[in-house]
Amino acid sequence: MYKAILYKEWIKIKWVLVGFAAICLAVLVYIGLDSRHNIEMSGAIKTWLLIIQRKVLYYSLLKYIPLFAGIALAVAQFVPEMTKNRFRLSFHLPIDEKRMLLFMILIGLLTNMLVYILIIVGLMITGSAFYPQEIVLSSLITVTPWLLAGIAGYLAASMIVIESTWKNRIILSIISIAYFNLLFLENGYNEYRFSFWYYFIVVILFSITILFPGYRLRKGSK
Amino acid sequence: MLNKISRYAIILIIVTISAVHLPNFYWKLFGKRISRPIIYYSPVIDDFVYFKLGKNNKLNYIDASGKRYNRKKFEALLPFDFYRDLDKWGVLPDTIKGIPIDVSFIRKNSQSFRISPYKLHNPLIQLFPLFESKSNFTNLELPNELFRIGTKIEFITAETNTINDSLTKIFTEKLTETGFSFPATFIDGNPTTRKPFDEGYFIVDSKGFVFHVKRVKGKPFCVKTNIPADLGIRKIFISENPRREFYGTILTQSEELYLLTYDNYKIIKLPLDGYNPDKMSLVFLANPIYRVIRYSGSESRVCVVTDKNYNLVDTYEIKVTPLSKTITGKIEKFIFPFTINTRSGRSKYVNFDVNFSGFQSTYGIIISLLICFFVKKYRRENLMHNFFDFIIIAVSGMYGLLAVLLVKPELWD
Repeated sequence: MYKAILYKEWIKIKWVLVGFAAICLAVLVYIGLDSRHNIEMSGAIKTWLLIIQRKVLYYSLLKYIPLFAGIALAVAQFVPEMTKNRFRLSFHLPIDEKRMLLFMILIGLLTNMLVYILIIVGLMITGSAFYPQEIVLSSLITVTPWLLAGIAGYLAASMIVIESTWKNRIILSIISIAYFNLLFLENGYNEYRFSFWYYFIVVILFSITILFPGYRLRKGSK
Repeated sequence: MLNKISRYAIILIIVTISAVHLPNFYWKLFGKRISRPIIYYSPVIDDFVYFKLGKNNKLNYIDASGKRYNRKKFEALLPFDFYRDLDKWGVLPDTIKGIPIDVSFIRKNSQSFRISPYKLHNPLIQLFPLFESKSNFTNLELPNELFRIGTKIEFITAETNTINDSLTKIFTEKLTETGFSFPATFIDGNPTTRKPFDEGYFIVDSKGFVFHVKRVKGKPFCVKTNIPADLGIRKIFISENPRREFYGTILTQSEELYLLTYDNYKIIKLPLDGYNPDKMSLVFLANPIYRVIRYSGSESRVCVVTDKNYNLVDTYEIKVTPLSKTITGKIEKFIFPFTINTRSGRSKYVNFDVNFSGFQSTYGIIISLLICFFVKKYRRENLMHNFFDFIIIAVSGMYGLLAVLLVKPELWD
């Protein structure tokens, strides 16, 4: 049963995954080119100090990609289920609807992780080519809230798509956007060092939010 | 059961987000500017003077005895602070307390710096440029490498992103020779080219001793200072100034502030009663006669005056009504049982600080509980089925009320 669901999910999300992997690669290559160009034009030491002292984030082009990837994956996974009430069919499958939803979410999360691994490895490779290890490490620490926003975006979008009424969808969207906003507050590097885990806990809460709209869907609540 | 938990997860998320954003909206809507007086010390009348925003939104100029001045008269009391204006009007006195003064004399004998709380809460990559401090040219130039201190002092050449072995070797040897025990506890300097000259870095080693490290004609300069290792140094602020009286200041864990002087690294404790570096910003002003130090938090503004040898002359304090004690602040505590702060001017970090409002919020909570009760009655919900809703409101007040009413419960299986 799970294998069949996995196959079904894969059909829905493969092109989104490929698309975002391509976008990430392109952006990472651009970051590399941009770094090379800056170092060539203004000198390595100035470029380094601009990053260290003025806190210019040379990888800021990546900022919203995880969030968009998360939302796109959720849409790809759950919108086809919601059109023509297809998802209601799966309530007749010999599997608990809660388990199924959580399994689908798990697949989506792992797919998101693939994008994140690409981002992290890419930052390590492009970073080490031009910058000392301290700067590379700070880039990895600085992108973690953005990756967390990707996970939150995926979970929130799944919940919003599964929700059956537009009124609730709007409420949940406002709340989700208000939360995403909190993960993009940085003006420099390493700024979430002491508070990251609090924001992480809130994202853990997001991980089971899909069940309630799922339940409403099964009940046919308005 | 899991479906119920899922609903509460959504509710908790709403509570958290409301606690961040709603108080913010509240202050954006009702926040008022409060008057924060700025205190000076007048060498003309030997007393404190200050100006503050009056009721009519105009600045009032007052001295410590309560006498009022107009702006021009006020500035005339403070020739060291407003000498440019006084000079423009042609009323700069020739002597003050017997000392002949003019614009260039005042300028040469003045110095100021500021210590703000965010400087203590600021993420910083630990890589520093070591400037050539005895260059043949006037302007400071960026070196080709940055240094880090681990088990040795390592120089990384930026152009090639590789370790410069020869610099690493001579500096590590020099530091070891001087008695430096690796690694460093912290490194403080003023790594900018926008300063008149360079004094390098003050580096605290693993045993707590302070070392002064510079690059002089490409060679290492390293001195083990006699600053006590048990001083409990928290941070050293370096600011080079042509007066060459002190390198900067040393802040200790016990919130004492010392000047680090050119006199063989002798340290002088500044008489700052009640100074809290995490919450207050401090301004130091040296003029030809006095040293004036102002520090201010949300509840008070203090001005300390010392003579040139840092003996206390006088202090003056003005109490300020903090935002939390204004009517708007009190109503905030009534409405919101707690708030979550993410950003503050006192830190460069993004926080997640939960501040509880205390007992005042009980009223708000009771009102929220009653509203919830009546709405549920009106919606004909069974009160006992979702009793946990009330517990959430009892803890989170109106945030909980908002969340519980927005996310209506279902008829559970």
